[in-house]
Order: sequence, then C-alpha cells, then structure tokens
Amino acid sequence: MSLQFKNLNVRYGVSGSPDDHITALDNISIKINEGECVSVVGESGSGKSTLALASMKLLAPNAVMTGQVLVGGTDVSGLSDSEMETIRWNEIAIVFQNYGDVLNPVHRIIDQVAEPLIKNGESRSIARERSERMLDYLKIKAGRDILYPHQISAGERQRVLMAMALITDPGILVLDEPVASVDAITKSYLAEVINEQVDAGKAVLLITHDLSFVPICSDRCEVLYFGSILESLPSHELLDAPRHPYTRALVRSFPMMERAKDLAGVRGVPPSMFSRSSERSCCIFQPRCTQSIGVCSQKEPQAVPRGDSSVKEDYGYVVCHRGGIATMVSVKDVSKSYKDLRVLSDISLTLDEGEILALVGETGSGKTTLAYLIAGTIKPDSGEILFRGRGVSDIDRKEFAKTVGIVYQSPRDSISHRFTVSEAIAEPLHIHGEFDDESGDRIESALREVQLPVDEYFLQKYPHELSGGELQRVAIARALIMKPHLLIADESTSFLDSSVQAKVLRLLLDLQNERGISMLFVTHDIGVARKVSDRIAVLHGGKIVENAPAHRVIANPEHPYTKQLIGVAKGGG
Amino acid sequence: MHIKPFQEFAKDKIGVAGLVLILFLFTTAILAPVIAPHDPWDYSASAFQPPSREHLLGTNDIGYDIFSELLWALRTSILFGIAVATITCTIGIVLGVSAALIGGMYDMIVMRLADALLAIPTIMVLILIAAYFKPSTTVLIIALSLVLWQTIARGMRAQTLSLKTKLYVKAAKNTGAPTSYIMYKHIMPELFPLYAMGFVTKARIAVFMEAGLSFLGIFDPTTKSLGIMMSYAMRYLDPCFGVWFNWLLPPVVALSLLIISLGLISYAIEEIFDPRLRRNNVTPI
Repeated sequence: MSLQFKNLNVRYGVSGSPDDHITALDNISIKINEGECVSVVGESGSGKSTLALASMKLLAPNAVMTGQVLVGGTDVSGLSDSEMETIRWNEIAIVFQNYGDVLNPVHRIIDQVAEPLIKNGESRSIARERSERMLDYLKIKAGRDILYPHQISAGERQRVLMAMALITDPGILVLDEPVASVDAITKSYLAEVINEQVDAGKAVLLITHDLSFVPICSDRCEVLYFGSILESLPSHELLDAPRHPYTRALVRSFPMMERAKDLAGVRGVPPSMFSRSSERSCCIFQPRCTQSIGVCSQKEPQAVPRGDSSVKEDYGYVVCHRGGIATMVSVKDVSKSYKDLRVLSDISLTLDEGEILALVGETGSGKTTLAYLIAGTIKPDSGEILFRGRGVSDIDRKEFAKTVGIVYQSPRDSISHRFTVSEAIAEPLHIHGEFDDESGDRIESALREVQLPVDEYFLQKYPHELSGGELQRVAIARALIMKPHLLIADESTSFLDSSVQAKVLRLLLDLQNERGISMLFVTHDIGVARKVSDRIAVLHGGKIVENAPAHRVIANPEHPYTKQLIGVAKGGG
Repeated sequence: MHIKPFQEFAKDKIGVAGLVLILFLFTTAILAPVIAPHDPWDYSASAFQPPSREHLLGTNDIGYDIFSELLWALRTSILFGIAVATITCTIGIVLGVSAALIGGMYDMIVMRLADALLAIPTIMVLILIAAYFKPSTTVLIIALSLVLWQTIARGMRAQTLSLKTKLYVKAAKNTGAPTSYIMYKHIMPELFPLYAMGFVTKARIAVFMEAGLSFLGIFDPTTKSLGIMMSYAMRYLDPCFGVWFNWLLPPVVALSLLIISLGLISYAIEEIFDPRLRRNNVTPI
C-alpha cells in the first residue's frame, strides 16, 4: 500500500496572527511506494509532526487541511471520522512521539498492545498471545509485559509504541521520532525492525531529527523547513553531499561519530510562524542563508533537479534560486613558479559558499601561494581562478580586496607597531575611503564580535601591550571590518599556545557560522584542520593529492602522503 | 616594538644637553644681526684693540669687531649645515626609496652611481674644484650635497626593501592600499630615525667642511666664516701681537661646540632607535 501527499496545505487557525491563521505545511507533495521508506528531517517547528498527524487525519480541530492525502489510492482528506476509523490502525498506523503520557497509565502494556486486535474482533486469548510475540520480537524481556507504563524505561516504552503500531500489520507505517529517546543499541535494533517492515512491503514515513538514522533506514529524505520542502534527496547523500545550504547547516549541527569538526547550529534563529503569510514573495530560508543574492528576497524559488539531468537515476530536487550550494571560488589548472622553482602545478580546486576548506601541507608545499592566488594578490602563470563566476584578474583589485579578509600567521608582524588597536582596525576603512563619523561604532562592534573590551583605554593600546591572543583577535576584527565574503586564515593560530589557539579557533568558527562566510583555512596541522573544516585538501609537492570531506580524509586517506601526515599527527612514525 | 621618540629623547641627558647647546648657538646665530654690536664688514676701531666693553673680543688686523664677526660666522656655519643636510637628505631619500620601490634597471643605475661616489675621494675632488672655480656659497652648498647623498640613499634603500617585506605592509597592500598610502603610513614613519640620524650627521660634516674649506682659503673671502677667521688669526700668532686668545680661540671654541652638540644629538638618536645601545636594557615585550 502506498502513501501519497499531494499539494498538502495545513493551516492552524490562531487568533491574533496576521491572517488569523498560521501556515504549518505549504504545498507538500511526497509519494511513498510500497516497500519504501521516506524520511523527513528538519528543525523543531518545521512541521514534521503536523505531516505525521495529517496522514492519519488526526490534526487538531483548529487545523484546516487542503490538498490530498492518498492512502493506498484513496483520498482520505474528505473522509468523515467514522470512515477514518476503519482505515486507522488497519491500513495506516502511527508510532507517536514518545512523551510520558502517550500510553494509558492504568492499563498493563500487554493489554494496550492487544487492544486494537480485540477491537477488530479477535478473541482475548489470541490477541494476548500475538501481543506477547510482538513484544518478544521487539525485545521486551519476558515478564515485563505485564508491567504498567510508568514501571518501564523510556526505551521500552518506545518499543511498546512500535508494537502497538505493528500488531495490526498495517500497509503504511508513520513513525514520529521513533528513536529520539532510545540508546544506540536499541536504536540499531529498531532500525533492523523498520528495515524488515520495509522489506515486507510496507510504506514507511519516518520522521526524525536523528540524521545518522536516515541513511540506515530510508531510501529518500525530504528536508522540511518552516512548512516547505527545501530539498529532496537520496538518503545516502544526506550526510556527504547535501545540496541545499539548509541541509548542509543541519548536517553540520548533527554530532556524527566519525566527524571531528566542532558542531555549529544553523545560523540565525528560526523565523516565527506568525511572520509567515500565505502569500510568499521570497525564499523562506533567505534570512539565514549563507549565499543569498538579490533575487532570493524578491521571488519564491522553484524546485530544480539536484543531479545532472543526463543521469537516469532520480537524485531528487532542491528548492533554491542558485540551484543549491553555489561555488564561490573555482581554481582551474593553475600553475605558479617563482623563477625556476615550480610551486604549484595544475591545481584544480573549488570552494563553496559558506564552506570551510582546510588547505593542509608541509612548509613549502605551496599552500600560502595558493591562498594568495585565490585572494588575487598574486597572479597565476597559467590557468584561471573564478570568484562567483568572474575571473579574479578581471575584478578591480581594490574592490576585490574588500570581499576577501586575510588573517595572517603572526599578529605581531601583521599589525604595525605604530598603530593603536583602533587605528589597526580602522586601517581597511581608511584604505577604502570609508572612514567617517560612524566608524567608531563599526570598530566597537567589530571588537565586541571578537570578544575584546571597547573602552577608550583599550582602543589606545599599542600592539606590544597586548598578548598574542588579544592581538590575533584584533587582526581578525581588522580582517572582518569590511564584511568580506571570504576569509583566508593563513596559519592564523600556529603561533599561539594551545589554550589561546583553542579560543581563537572557536571564535573564527563562530564568526564564520554567524556571518555565513566561506573560509579558507591554511594550516600545516592536520589535527587542527580536522577540527575546523568541512573539507580537507592536501597539498604535496605543488599538487593536490587529496580533496574530500574532512571526516573521510581522516578515516580513509587515499594518498600515502596523507597517511603519513595523519600517522605523524597521531604520534606514530 | 613601538618607540615614542620625543619622550625617549626627553629622558636622554646627553641628547638634552646637545639640544640645549644647539638651541643656544642657533638663537645666537639667528639673532646675529640684532646682537652684533658693530657691522662686521666695516672698520669700527683701530687694529689689534684688546677686549674692552666696546669691543668684547677686541678688533682684528684691520679694525673689524671680532665679536660681531664671530656671530655672523656662526650664522654662516649653521645655515650651511642646515642647507647641505636638507638637500643631501632629500636627494638621498628620494633616490633611495624610489630605487627600492621601483627596482630593476633604475635601482641598478642609482646604486652604481652611489658606489662610484663612495669609491672616489669626493672631498679631495671637491677641494680641487673649489680651489679652481672659487664658487659662491650657494654653488658650494649644492656641490657638497651632490657628493654626500650616497650613504643616505643606500641606508634608505636597504630600510625600504626590508620594510617592503614586512607582513603589516603586505597586509595593507592585500587590503587594497595604493603605494602612496603605504609610503605615507608605513614607510615614511619607519624611515624617520634614519632620516634624523642622517640629517644630523650630514650637518656635522657640512659644518666641518665649510670651516675646513674656508680655512684653506678656497671660499668666498668676503663671507664671514669661522674658518676664515681662524685662517687670518693664524697669521698673527706671534706672541708680540698677543691676539690668539681673543681672535683664534673664539672661532675654535664656537666650531667645537657646534660639532660637539650635533655629535651629542646624533649619539642620543642612535641610542633611542637602537635598543641594544640602551643603558637600561629593559625593553617592553
């Protein structure tokens, strides 16, 4: 039996909101075939549970639903409650979110599992026997099935809920956060159970915020944000190759075993439901997006195919004006020599919007040269470098300098000893002729951003009066004052002791996330790269020998040099 | 490390002593037309008068007032020193900095010229030229400046080249700063100590050269000059005249004081800008 949502809209009548209602789901279309599991992910409040409830027609009385919900081909949206009764539990069953009060506290759990069978006319003894088997299948220990809900653990309660849904053997299963409250071992067992149900031909709608669970159980994944689907993708691509900036931000927020990068939430705050009117004139993710352009705030985006159209396989779609995560910098076959010394040969590399790319290599491997080529301060001998589709050498040098902020290795050397803190931070403003009456406020807010004091005494301090960590923060404030789109950190933390380095790295990552800018992190320390970057490119002898998501480079290095780097970093040979 | 040069200078006793001395000599020289009791180019009493209230240092062999002559000679020396130092430093800075910034062929030509000037004994050549052409003061100032700039230019070039590679200069350049901004904000302030040192050193050389050339008599004899005064006084060294202490000694003392004061100042400047020379070698970190 299949489950299909067609142009589903759900609105809740709320007095006091602009149109007296708020939109919880907007034009949702999902089709789940027999023997298929589709997962829906998103932040809290994105409408995931509303979707689950809509499939069962269990929405609150103040909800208005339009569009179609097809359960095995029958549109249930128009059915009355009594007609719905025959479908619920028999054809479509739901596992509710596991709150403390979903089970009836005055009945034994086995009776609650048996209840739907008895209601369907099964004899009490057969129902109990089947329930016992079902609970046994879900690994509830013998003897515990006669306990009351408050006497069992949360993990067991979750399995009881699952047993209740499975007992009638429905064709469609709706799972709302089935693994939110269970431990990892139980989780993997539940994953097995779900996979068995899918293999048995059930259509499963899996609602979860556990992203690692998605590829294990489901075939496809829908990313829901604020009532709209922003991306629909094959589940195996969710963690490694998300195409929408929101999906990527979601993945970045999720703790994964193999990934070492520090977690960062989705920048900004989720919009208020009240702010959403039914007439849409912009991309809903635009205020939090790392790559929004003019059109994003003017027009509603359309779905575009994710993959290349020549491939037969369905790679889903992404709802974005820019066709998903856009490339900010692309380096194509670039070579560079200093006199007879060839530093870089035929380098090709891309840097996406909002991405942190670590450039790792030993001293003299050409990483700084590559960084400065991207910054446009030196020119390549051959090949081309594109910034947002334009050749870097064609862009006005001074104008381009505004879009790229650089934080250098040694803060002592990168700030003139003649400048006070405020003069140092104001330097880019002077250079670009933007120094005016409001500059004082700009400098102050820049200092606040890097967590430094803003009193007059501090502003008038000279570099030699500051510690290395403070000075590097000043350098970061200087690099960010022109609001660049790309930040290049050239060994920015290698001069600092590990405690200060940790703080400065934390600060850089927070600023990157909050501002949504791209970052090129140049370092010789693969340990640092692993903690900060989305992707690692390893440079060796002027060539890129490795370029992959950070966790993959660390877990499965392909090139012998990378293996050696990681081995040495671990303290081995 | 950041240095506040004026505050440091104020703390330096040697520098302050030199500065007080030079200010005193300066004021005297500037006010010469006011202070001088007699016209130094005109006969004011009979020859070889001993010092008196009317003639503080007596009169010379043709009856000119020696004290007035001394004031005007000091004025010549100081003006000569300042003029030569200014022109020399200007040429040196312009050539040195531009050679460093432009580089290439231009750099090579300028530097080979400087090398040539270093190799030729320029002072000897200058003496020969002066003896042959008897040039005016202005011409001599220019001629001297033209052969003294090479050390300044070399120093400026070296310093600019080293500044060019400083990370904060690169940082400003990467931020989009034009060359004029980098010159004004980063290069020039850093060159100041070198400039100050060069200025004082060249002024000292110039004062000494002027006295030397005029002593040798290859200088416009109508100009009042410490060297000319010494040269004439030397002719009447015979004890029967008894003029050595009121005619020879004053210009010698004045010249010495002038050179010593400039020396003290250059010593102080060097000490301020080179922390290794500081007595209390505690530098802020």
